[in-house]
Amino acid sequence: MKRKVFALLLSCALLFGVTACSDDAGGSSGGSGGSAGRIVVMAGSTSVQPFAEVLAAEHERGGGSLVDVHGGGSGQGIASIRNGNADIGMSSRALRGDELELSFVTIARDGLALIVHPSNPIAGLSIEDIRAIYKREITDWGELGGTPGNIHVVTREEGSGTRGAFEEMVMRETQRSTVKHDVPVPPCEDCELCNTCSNSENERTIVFEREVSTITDHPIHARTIVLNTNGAIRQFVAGNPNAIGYISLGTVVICGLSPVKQLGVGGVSPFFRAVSERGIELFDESCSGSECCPAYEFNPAYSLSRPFVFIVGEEPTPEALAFIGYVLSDTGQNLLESHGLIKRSERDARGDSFVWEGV
Amino acid sequence: MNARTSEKVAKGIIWGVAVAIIGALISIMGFILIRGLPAINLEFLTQASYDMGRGGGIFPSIVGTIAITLLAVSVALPFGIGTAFYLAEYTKGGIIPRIIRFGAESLAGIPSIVYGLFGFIFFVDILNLGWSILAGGLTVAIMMLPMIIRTSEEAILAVPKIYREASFSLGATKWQTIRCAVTPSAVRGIANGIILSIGRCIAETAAVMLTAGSALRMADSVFSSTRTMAVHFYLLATEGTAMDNAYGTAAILIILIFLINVVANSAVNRFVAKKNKGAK
Amino acid sequence: MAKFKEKLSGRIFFTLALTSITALAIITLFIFREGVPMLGSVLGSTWAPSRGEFGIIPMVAGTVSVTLGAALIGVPIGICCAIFMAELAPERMRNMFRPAIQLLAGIPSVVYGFWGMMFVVPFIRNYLGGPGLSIVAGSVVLSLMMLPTIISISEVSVLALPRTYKEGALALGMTHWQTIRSVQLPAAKSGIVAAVILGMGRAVGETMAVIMVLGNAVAFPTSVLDPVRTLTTNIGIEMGYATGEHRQALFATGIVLFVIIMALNITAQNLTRKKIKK
Repeated sequence: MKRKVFALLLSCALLFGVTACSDDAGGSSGGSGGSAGRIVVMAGSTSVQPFAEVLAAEHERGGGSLVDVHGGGSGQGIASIRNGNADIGMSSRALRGDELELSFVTIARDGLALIVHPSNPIAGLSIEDIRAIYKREITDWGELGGTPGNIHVVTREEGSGTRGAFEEMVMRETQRSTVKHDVPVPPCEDCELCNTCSNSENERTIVFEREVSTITDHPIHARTIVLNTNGAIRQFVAGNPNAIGYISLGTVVICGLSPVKQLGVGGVSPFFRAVSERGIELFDESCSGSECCPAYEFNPAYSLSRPFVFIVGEEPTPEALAFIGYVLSDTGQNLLESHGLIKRSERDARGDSFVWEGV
Repeated sequence: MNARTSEKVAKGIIWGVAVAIIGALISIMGFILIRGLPAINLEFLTQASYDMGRGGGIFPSIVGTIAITLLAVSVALPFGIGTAFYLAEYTKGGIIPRIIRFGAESLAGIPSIVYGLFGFIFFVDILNLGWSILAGGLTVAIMMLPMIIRTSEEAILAVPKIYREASFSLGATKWQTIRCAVTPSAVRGIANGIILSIGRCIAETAAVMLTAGSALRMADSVFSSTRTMAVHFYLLATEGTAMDNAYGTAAILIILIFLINVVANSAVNRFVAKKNKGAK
Repeated sequence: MAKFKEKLSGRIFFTLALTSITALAIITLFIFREGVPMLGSVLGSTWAPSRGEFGIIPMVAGTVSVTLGAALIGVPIGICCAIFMAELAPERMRNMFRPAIQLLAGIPSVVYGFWGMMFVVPFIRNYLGGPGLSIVAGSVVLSLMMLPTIISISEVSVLALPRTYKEGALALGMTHWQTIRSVQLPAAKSGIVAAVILGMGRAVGETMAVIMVLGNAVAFPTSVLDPVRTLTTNIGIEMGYATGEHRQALFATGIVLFVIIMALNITAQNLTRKKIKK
C-alpha cells in the first residue's frame, strides 16, 4: 500500500519535472505564454494594478503576450526591478533620488482622494487641516466643525506609492518667505564689472530681497493605522464613521460596495457634482448598490494628482516593450481615460527617462 | 459557600466554558459557510478568475494549491520518514540522535513568516527560482518536516517489539525487518501524519505568498507563480471588493480541512484498533 | 547481498536524517548572516525606515502585549476545557469535543483573522472605543488559536497523573471539584505551564491572523485599545519592498523572533522533562 502511494507521488513529481524542463525556465519570466512568447511579469503599486490588469486583458485579446500582474506596493515594484524579479515595475508616485537612474515612463495620471464615512458632515478640508490631522495635532472631529469624536486616521504602508504621493502633496510644507540681504554698493571708481555702484555716500548698501522656500517634510504620526491596499482603506472607512483615509481616485466610486464620501481639498472637489439615472446626488449615503452608480466627471482644477509610472530593467524583454507600446498608444491611453485616469501629457513624456521607440 | 455549592458552581462554569467554545467554533464555521456555500457552484470551481479575482472562479488556485502540496509532500516524505526510521530503529541514544532531534524540534518552532523570509531570499532570489510553485513547495516541505518526523517516529515506535524479535529470530536482517515487519504496521500512523501535514500546508499563507507569489493565471509549470486558495482568500478579504468570492474560497478551505480531519481521525482509529489487536 | 543492502540502507537512513539538521543550519545561517549586521540598530525605539531608523521596541511591546492578552483570555478557558475533557465529560461528549478541538486547530489563521476583522473589530469599536483595530482584537483572535495547544497538552498532563492521587483525595471525603482544584491541578502544574508556554510560542509566531486586526501602527502602544504592530506583522507588511538595510533590519527582527520562540520551547521542554524524571 505504501509502495503504491509512493510510486504515485513519485510519478506526479516526475510529471512536474518533465513539464518544467520542457519550458523556458528560470528567473522572473518563467513559464511560456504559448505562441505569444514569454509572460510579462509585472509587480508593484496596488493603485496601478487594476488598470494594468485591464490593459493586459485588452493586450492579450489583441494577440499580445500574456501579462501577470502582482501587487505589493510601489516600493515592491521598484525593488522587484532592481532584484530582477519582474519585467515591469509599477509605481503610483513620481520616482525620486537614485530611483531616477532606472528606465521609466509615465503612463497616466491619477487623482488622490481623501475619504471619510458618508455620515460625516464635513464637506472639505484645507491641506493644512489634513496635514494637522495626520500629524495628530487635530484629534477630534469637533475641532473641524464635525460631530465630536476621535479621528481614526488611516494611511498606507511606507512602501506605497500612494503614500509617497500623499506625503509629497499634503505632508510636505513649502513655506515661502522673503529674505533681506544688505548688499554693499561700491563707489564707481572701484567698480569695473559690477552692476551697481554709487558715488553717493548715502547709498553704501542696498536692500536686496530674495524669495526663499523652506521645504519641511512632516512625517505621518506613528500612531496612524496602516493598511496595505486601497481596497482595505476604503473598506475600513466605509465601516467607521470616525475614519479618514486616502485612496486612489479610481477606487472611490465602486458600484455595489458601501459608499465612501470624498472630501474637497483646498475648496476644490475632485468630482463635479453628478447625478445618476435615478436623480440621486453623488454620495447619498442612503443609496448603495449598483443602481446608484452615477456618472461623474473629473474636475481638472483638483490639485492632488500623481503619475502612474512603468519601470523596466536594463534589458527589457521584447514582450514587455510591446506591452508598454500598447499602453502608450492611443488605444491604450483612451482605455485608461475611459477607466477614470488622466491621459499622459507632453510634460509627463518629457519627464520619462527613456524614449520608447515604436515596435 | 459550602463545598457542595462551590462544586456545583465550578462544574457549571466549566461546562459553560466548554459549551461556549463549541459555540465559538460553530459561529466561526457558520459565519463562513452561510455566506460562502451559496457562492460555490460548478463555475466557481472550474473557471479561471479575472478582474483581480473579483470575477470568475478559483480553478487556478485549486490547481496551484494541489501542486504545491503534492510537491511539498513528495519532497518532505522521504526525508521525514527516513529520519523517523533512523531515530527509531538505528540509534539507542547518544549525542547524534539528540542533535538530530533538536534540529527537528527547532524547525517546528520557527514561525511561518520567518520561513517566508528564508524562502524568499534563498529559493526565490539566490537560487533564482522566482516566485514559483517550486520555491513555495520547497519552503513548505521544510515546514512539514518536523510533523512528519514526529508522527512517523511515534507510529514506528508503536509497533510491538515482538514483530521485530520474531523477524530477527527468523534470520532477517535489520533492513528486511524494517521493510517487511515494521513498515506495514506503522503505515497507518505515518499516513496520519502526512494527512495532518497536508492540512497544515493547505492552510499556510504567509510563507506561500512570499515564495509562490500571487499570480492569478493558471500555472503551466513548476516555475510559474501561483496563488493558493489561502493566499487568494487573504487578498480578496483585505481588498474588500469581492466578498462573495472571498467567503466562497474560505468555505472551500474549511470544508477541505474538515474532510482531512475526518480522514485522519478514521485512520487513527483504525490504527489504534490495530495496535490493540496486535498487543493482544 | 543482504549485508550490502543492510549497510546501504543504514547509510541512506542516516543521510536522510541529517536533513533536518542541514535545513536548520542553512536557515539559521541565512537569517543570522542577513540580520546580524543590523542587530544593534534594531534596539532603538522608533521604526521609520525612510529616515533610516529601525528600532523594533514598539513591535516588541506589540508582541508582548498581544501575547500576554491572549494568554490572559486563553489560559483560563483552556484549563477549563482540559478539566472538562479529562474529568467531567461523559464518554460521548469527549468523543465529540476532541474532534471539535482538532477542527479549531485546523482552521487556517487567515480565516481567524477574517472573522476577527468582521466581528471582533467592530464590536470593540462600538462597545469599547477606539478604532477597533487594537491589541484587544489581536488577543481575542490569538486566544482562540492558542486553545487547542493548551487544551490538548493540559489534558494529557492531567490524565497522566496516577489514579491514586484522585482516589486518595476522594477517599478522604473531598468533593470532585475539591479534588480537581487542590490535588490534580497542582500535580499537573508543570505540564499545564508547559502547555501555556508552547501556546504562547505559537501566538508569538502568528502573522496572518493578526495582520488584519491589529491596525499596524508603528507607535509604542499606550492603551489596549491602541492599534499596534507585532514583530511578525512588521516583517509581513514590509518584506515585499524592503531593500538594503531595511531588509537586514527585518532579518534582525526574524532573529529576535527565533530567539524568543526557541527560549519558550526549550523552557517548555525542560518543564516536561522534569516531570518525567519525577
